[in-house]
Amino acid sequence: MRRILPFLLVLAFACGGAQKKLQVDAAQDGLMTAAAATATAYDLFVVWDHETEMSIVNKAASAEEGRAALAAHRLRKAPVLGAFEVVAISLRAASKALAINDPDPAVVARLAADALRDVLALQQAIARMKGETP
Amino acid sequence: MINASAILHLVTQALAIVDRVHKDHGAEKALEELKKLEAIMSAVKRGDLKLLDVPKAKAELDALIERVASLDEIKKGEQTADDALAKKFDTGGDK
Repeated sequence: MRRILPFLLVLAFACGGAQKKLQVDAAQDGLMTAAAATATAYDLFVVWDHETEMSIVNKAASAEEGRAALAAHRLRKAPVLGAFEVVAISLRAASKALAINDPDPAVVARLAADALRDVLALQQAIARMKGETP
Repeated sequence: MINASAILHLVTQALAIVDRVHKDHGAEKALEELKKLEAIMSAVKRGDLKLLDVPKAKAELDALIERVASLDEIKKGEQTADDALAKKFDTGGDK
């Protein structure tokens, strides 16, 4: 029994280690999904925002009117920019947690979930803003 | 995701365990452990365990994070619009 115990401990460690790797891999997948969604949302928003602002400029009857319309548009988009910053922070935290040696699966899972949640909030903020655009 | 280096490291560790099992418990037990290792490598071959260039993926992720955090492209777009507005009314005057 004394000779078997270390063997059993090694096996238990190996099984626990495999489970842990699966959990960390799942968190990594979640992080990459959040990153891909963020990249798409950002690229699309950059294009849409620029087109909207140039449209405002083209329609403006005076410099003052143009400046006021641009200011109003930028006020409306402030929550979206805030949401992008929140997502960047979440992605950075999850990325750092996954980069360390032997990451804690519970921690990386929570951080990856936070990043996915923040990406969803970003997409909702963009949808709300576009719904308000005249 | 597990990259090739990590797989090699795991295999090396696994073979060390098999060697210890062989010394402590004999060839039959060692053969059982080798079969488990074979199952893992089959999973890798099938693609159930992903091989990914983790350093490259991390570099791309870090670049995206910095890009989004800075909002540089959005700020540049705003500057372009401001410049266009100034140019429109500086050259033509108010309508």
